[in-house]
This record gives sequence, structure tokens and C-alpha cells, in this order.
Amino acid sequence: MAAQAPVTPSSPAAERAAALRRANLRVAVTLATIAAVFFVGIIGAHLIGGFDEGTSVLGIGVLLFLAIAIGRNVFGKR
Amino acid sequence: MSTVTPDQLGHGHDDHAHGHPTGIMRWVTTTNHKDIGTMYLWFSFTMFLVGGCMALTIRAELFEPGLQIVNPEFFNSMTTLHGLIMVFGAIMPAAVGFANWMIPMLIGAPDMAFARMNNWSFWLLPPAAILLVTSLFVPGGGPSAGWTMYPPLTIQNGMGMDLTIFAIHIMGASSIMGSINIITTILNLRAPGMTLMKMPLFCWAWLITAYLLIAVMPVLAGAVTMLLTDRHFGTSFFNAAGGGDPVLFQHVFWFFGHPEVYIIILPAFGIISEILPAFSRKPLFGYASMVYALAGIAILSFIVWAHHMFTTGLPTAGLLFFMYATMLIAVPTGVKVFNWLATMWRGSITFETPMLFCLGFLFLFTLGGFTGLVLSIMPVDIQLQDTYYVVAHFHYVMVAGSLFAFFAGVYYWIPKWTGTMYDERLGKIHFWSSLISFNVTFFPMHFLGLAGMPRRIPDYAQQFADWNMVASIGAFWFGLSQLIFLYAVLKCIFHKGEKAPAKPWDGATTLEWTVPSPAPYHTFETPPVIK
Repeated sequence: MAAQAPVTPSSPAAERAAALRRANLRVAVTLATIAAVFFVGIIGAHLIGGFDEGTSVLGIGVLLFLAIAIGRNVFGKR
Repeated sequence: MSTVTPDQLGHGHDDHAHGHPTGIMRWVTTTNHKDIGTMYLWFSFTMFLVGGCMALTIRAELFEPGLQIVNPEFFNSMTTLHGLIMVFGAIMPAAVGFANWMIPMLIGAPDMAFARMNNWSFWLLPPAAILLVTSLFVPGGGPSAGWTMYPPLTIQNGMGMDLTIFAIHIMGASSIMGSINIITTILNLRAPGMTLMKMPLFCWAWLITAYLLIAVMPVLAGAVTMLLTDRHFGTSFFNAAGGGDPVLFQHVFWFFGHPEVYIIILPAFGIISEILPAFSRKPLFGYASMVYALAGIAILSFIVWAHHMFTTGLPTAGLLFFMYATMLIAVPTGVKVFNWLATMWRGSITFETPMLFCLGFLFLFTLGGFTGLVLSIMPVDIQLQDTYYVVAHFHYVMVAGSLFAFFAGVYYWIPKWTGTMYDERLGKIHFWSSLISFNVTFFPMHFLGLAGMPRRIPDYAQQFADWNMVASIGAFWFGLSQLIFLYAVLKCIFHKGEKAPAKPWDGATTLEWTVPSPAPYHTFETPPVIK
């Protein structure tokens, strides 16, 4: 069987498209991770203890979420 | 706001179909943002009619004192499912429908970032809706604990509650996928030159809404998962009998529930912010402050949840904190209302149907916001908790707020969607009929609430009879008014009207008006350059 040539981006447009796909995926994975942390976090907090733990986990989650959301924007502008 | 240079008009879009499937398979397999937006909007309207029929059942029962039409258990299921269907099945999907149709066109993108996931996000909704509606017909009856699903009632409900929990899981997954798609599209697919601060405000409103969704939908999913395990797997998160705390559920639910109010209203703010400048023929006043006000409202929405729980025995310091934090939301909201008024100030205003709905929104939403401010005052709220005053308040925000803005959006963009102008006379009849009947329905509820009539009851004392009769008449009138809307939309779809030009509104400046009407199947495959 003849060996197939590896598929590589062959033009600047294809490279741009590949870079865009990577960037899209990066954003999606970050956001999905935040959602997963909130989902697991809220159940975990209740498994560990009561109101104080739950509120603390939620509070820290919200602060981290805001830090990531604002931080991404600030560093993105540099 | 963005502008586009004349040499870019008409560039980068075509209407050939690339041999995509036709018939039913077109809709099942589509990855086109316009098709998916259309499906979201129709799904939402269908659920609006289903939820509306439930509302009319409630109002028919409340037409006069005593039990006439339904038994109390079914009445409770009606109030529960009406709330869940309207929030998760009607209003949220409508907002996502607008986002799908308009965001790529407003930012000059060819489509959403994840087109296949977009299809999946939509097609999760019909099974969830079927689960919700069929919960009425299973042994034990439908869910009857209210849309807030407070334990211990939800732990005691029958199998219908399980179906509801699964429906919420599915709808939550759909919302999260939709939000990821919207954020990625806005961050990565904007046309060259379209900086964040040049984006149309509708995109800003949706960007912030999508972040809110990502943060709070998993919390709701976690809460209902714990409910499920309490019901079937012997845990005691919220089950007092096993050492759990039912009030804890209220904290978690409202941590989702209050931002949810803004998830519903922020896209409406975005639509209003597009339409008011177009019909005032002036740029939006205070664009930057509008963006910061949106962000401010979103951030504050995370720290006010316990104002829904003033009567649960919170410590005084907590009560005061949540009271003042809630009042603080009036500041960014006030900034927005001020800027909308300033946009109209000395504008060359014309009063086509979209503008009428915007003005209706502005007047009634402000009224609903004001009663919200009344309810934020803790000693007052303790008196009015769970009365019809609260029902009146949130319907002024949800219906006259979100729904009127969505009507405005449909009338504004339907020439672009269908290529046909809507019937202006029908639109105006729809507006005036909806405006008057809405107030006939919900304004008397303020009086009922102040007089002490509790919500979620099928029977009531004789002294509440007159205003309930008025409210019921108004509700049926409001319901019938929506058939005018359906007729006006169908006329456009079947092209029974004037052909729409590419830009039917003088004052419109955004990118969607640079493509022909109806918008070609593919737009901006070559991105426009924004100056």
C-alpha cells in the first residue's frame, strides 16, 4: 500500500481556520470546566457539610468565575 | 456602534444551498444558525401557547370563589407547570432563538462557532418539553410544589416530579451548550474591526447572559440532582426526616433563581437597545454605560438571592445585607432606563409596531421594577410574601418586560427573516390589545395582594371576588390577542404583504441590514470589515 502524505494546513487560510478551531475549542473547554466545577462543587459542598461550607464553596466559585471571566478579557487585550 | 463601508455591502454572502437536505430532514440535520433560530422561536411560541392554556385554566378556576373546574391537586400542577414551561420552555428558548438568528449577523460571522452542537442544543428541548407535559399523566399526578420545587413537597410528590427533574437536567444541558456556543462565537468570530465596544448592545446583553447561564444552570442541576437522590437513593440533603435542611434547598435554588430573572430580562434589554435608537433615528445614548450597567446587574444578581427568603428566619444582618444589595440593583437598571429615555429625547421618533412594544416595555417594565423595589424592603416583603402582589410584580417583569421585548424583536426583524413586511395595522391592534388586556389581568393583582390574597390557591374568600373576575377576563383577552400575533407572523411567512427592502427602517445601522431581505441562507462567508 502506498503511504499517504500527512494532512497539513497547506495555505495561510487553512492555517487560520485551524487556529480558529483551536481557539474555539479552548474557550469551550474552559467554559465547560467552569460549569462542571459548579455542578460537582454544589453537590460536594453539601456532602461535606452544611450551610457554611456550601456558601463558602459557592462564594469562592463565583469569585474564581469572575476572576477568570475578567482576567481573560484583560489579558486578551494585551 | 459599528458601521460598515458601502463597498462591503452585498459582499461575502450568497444564497446557494450547497445541496443541503430538504423537507423534514433539513430541520432535523440543519447546522445553519438561521434554521436553528427559527426552530427555537417556533418551539418557544408553541410552549408559550401550552403554558398559556395552563394559565387560562388557572384563571378560569379563579373566575369566582369556590371550586368549579379542576380539583386542588390539578390546580397546583397547573401553577407549577405553567411556571416551569414559561420560564424554561418559552422565554429562555425565545431569547436563544433571537441569539441564533441575530448574533452571527450582528457581528459579521458566517455562523455559530459550533454549528453541530447548536443543532444538538435545540433538539434536546423537545424531549424535555415532552417529559414536562407528560408528567401530568403519570401515576401520582404532575409536579405540584410550585416552579421553585421546594422540599419537602417535592420529596413527597409522585413520579411526575422525577420527569420534571430529568426535563430540567436536559434543558440545563441545552442552555449550557447554547451559552458556550454564544460566548465562543462572540469572542472569536467577530468581523475584523468589530471590537467588543463596537458590538451591538444585543450581543453584549447575550454575552453577559451566557456567562450567567454557565454559572447558575449547573447549580440548579446540582440542586435537582440532590432532590432526586433524596427521593430515591436514601440521602438526606434536604429531607428533614433524615437530618437534612429544606431551607438549604431554597438557598441553592435562589442562587440560581435570581440570576435567572436577569437571564430572562437581559436579552430583552439588548433587543430594546437595538430598536429604540432605530426608531428614534439617533445613536444609543451612553453606549459604554449601558454595557457597564449590564455587567453591574449581572454581578449584583449573584448576591441578592435571599431576598426571596425574608420569611425563613435569616439573621438580621443577613436580612439587611440582602435588602440593601437588592436595592442597589435599581442603580444600574435606572441607568439603562435613563439612557433609553435620553436616546428618544429630541429624536425623530415614529411609532411603528416594534417601537410601540418598546415603549410598552419601558413603561410596564419600569412599573414592575418599581414594585420589585417595594418588595426589596424587608418589613414590607414579610407582609407581602406569597401574596398576589408578588405575582403581579413578576408578571410585569416577565411578560411586559421580556415578552413585549420579544414581540418588538419579532416585528423589527421579521422583514429580514421572511423578506415580507408585517401588516402594520395587525401589529398595532396586537400591541394595543395586549397592552390593555395585560394591565386588566395583572394590575388588579396588586390590589389583591395588598388585601392579603395568597397565591397558589384554587379557592379564595368572597372579598377577593371582583378583582379576580376582572383579572380572569383580562387573561382570556390577553390569550386571544396572541392569535393576532400568530396571524401577523403567518402572513409574513406566506408572503402576504409588501416585499421588504434590505433596510426597511431608516435609523437601523447594524450589519444585518446590509444583506438582502430575506437574509440569504449563508451570510458573511467573507467577513465584512468594520470601520
